[in-house]
Amino acid sequence: MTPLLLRVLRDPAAVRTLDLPGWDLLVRQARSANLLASLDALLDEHGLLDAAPAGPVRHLGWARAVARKHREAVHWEVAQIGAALAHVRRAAGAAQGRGLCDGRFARRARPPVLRYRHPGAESQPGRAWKRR
Amino acid sequence: VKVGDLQPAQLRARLRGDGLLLRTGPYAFRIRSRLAGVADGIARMYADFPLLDGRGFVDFHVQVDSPWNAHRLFRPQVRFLVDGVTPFLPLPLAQAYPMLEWGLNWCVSAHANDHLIVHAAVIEKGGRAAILPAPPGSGKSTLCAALVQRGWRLLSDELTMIRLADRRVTPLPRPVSLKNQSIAVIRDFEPGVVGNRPVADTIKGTVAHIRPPLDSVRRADETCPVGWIVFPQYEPGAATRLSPLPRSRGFMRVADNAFNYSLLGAAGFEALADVVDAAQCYDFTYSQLDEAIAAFDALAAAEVPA
Repeated sequence: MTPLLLRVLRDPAAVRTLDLPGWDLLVRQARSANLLASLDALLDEHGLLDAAPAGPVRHLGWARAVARKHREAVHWEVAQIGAALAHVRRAAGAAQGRGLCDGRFARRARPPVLRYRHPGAESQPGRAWKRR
Repeated sequence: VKVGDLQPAQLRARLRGDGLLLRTGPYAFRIRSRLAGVADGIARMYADFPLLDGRGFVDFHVQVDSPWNAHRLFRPQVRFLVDGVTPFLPLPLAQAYPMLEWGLNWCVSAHANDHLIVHAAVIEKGGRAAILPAPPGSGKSTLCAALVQRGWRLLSDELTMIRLADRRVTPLPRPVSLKNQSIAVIRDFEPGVVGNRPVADTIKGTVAHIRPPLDSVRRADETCPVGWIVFPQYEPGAATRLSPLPRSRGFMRVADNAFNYSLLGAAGFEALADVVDAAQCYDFTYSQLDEAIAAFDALAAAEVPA
């Protein structure tokens, strides 16, 4: 038999027919599969949270709080990477004796990736960043 | 129907079979175990707790058992599982009951993110709660155990749950955990208290639990606002001293003791700020339980500040 979680992921409206032990199983399956926050987002997208009983809704809300924290952490990290890359662009421009680095020089600036650690980071022959 | 209505054999059968379904505060637990120590502990500690039927939603499905590993031959162990996951390393078998209590605490503190959860005892009188956050060894649980034997309502001895929605404390009445010397202190203080057999050599030393007062269990659905935040410190021979603490310091010290403060981010900060704004903060030094109780009763009797 198809696991309940899989049925709900395929057809979210299936939750309308669940009794409380059914919700219990669904929440446990979703938590073990690390999909509780995804289930919450899916049910929200389909407007099904209002129909859900209070117990499972509480668990979905708990997972939502963790997902929000993760999202904030990712946004923060992306902002840091963006700031670091902007710095690399400016450094590359400065090294070429240009005061300000506009878009033209951005093509030539390379982030400081060590090639031997990340063989896929530089793939164009002859233009690889060389280890000194 | 309450846990205490079950015969010992019925209780053991449920624990071995589909599980014992009980409610503590807002949460339903299904507890399974084949261990006699767990059944005895539950019978003594949870007699007044409501049993649930199997038709509802269960928040946490937990199991305490002895794994079939090599240890079983010469030094049997116990492990705690929640939905098949083991959040802790196994412990010696003799620690089965304390492990159940720690595990139940973990279930709540690791999940219930609609609350700011602080590692603190919390008690209520006159409709206001007193939060007692404190590091281990400060005498928090001893003080809490004594106060709830003298008219204060136990909300929780370990997890203060501040509901983000309305900044009120959600009760989670469960057995009060006592350590080392405080076990004898509370026995002398209130000989009628129901405790279970102390378990030696745990990571926290010797541990025993005492049954929560009936009134606290019955009123587990009554939330209340926070009136006071008191940081207790037991000091042998010290005079009883209650000194006001600036709210800023109180805020930081509560935040330090919160489990999910950083996870909640701005929501946690704002909830805690509201709670601290509306509460009075104190440092409290004590050595005599009777004097300590008088000091707390005086706090509760005072007018609510405008």
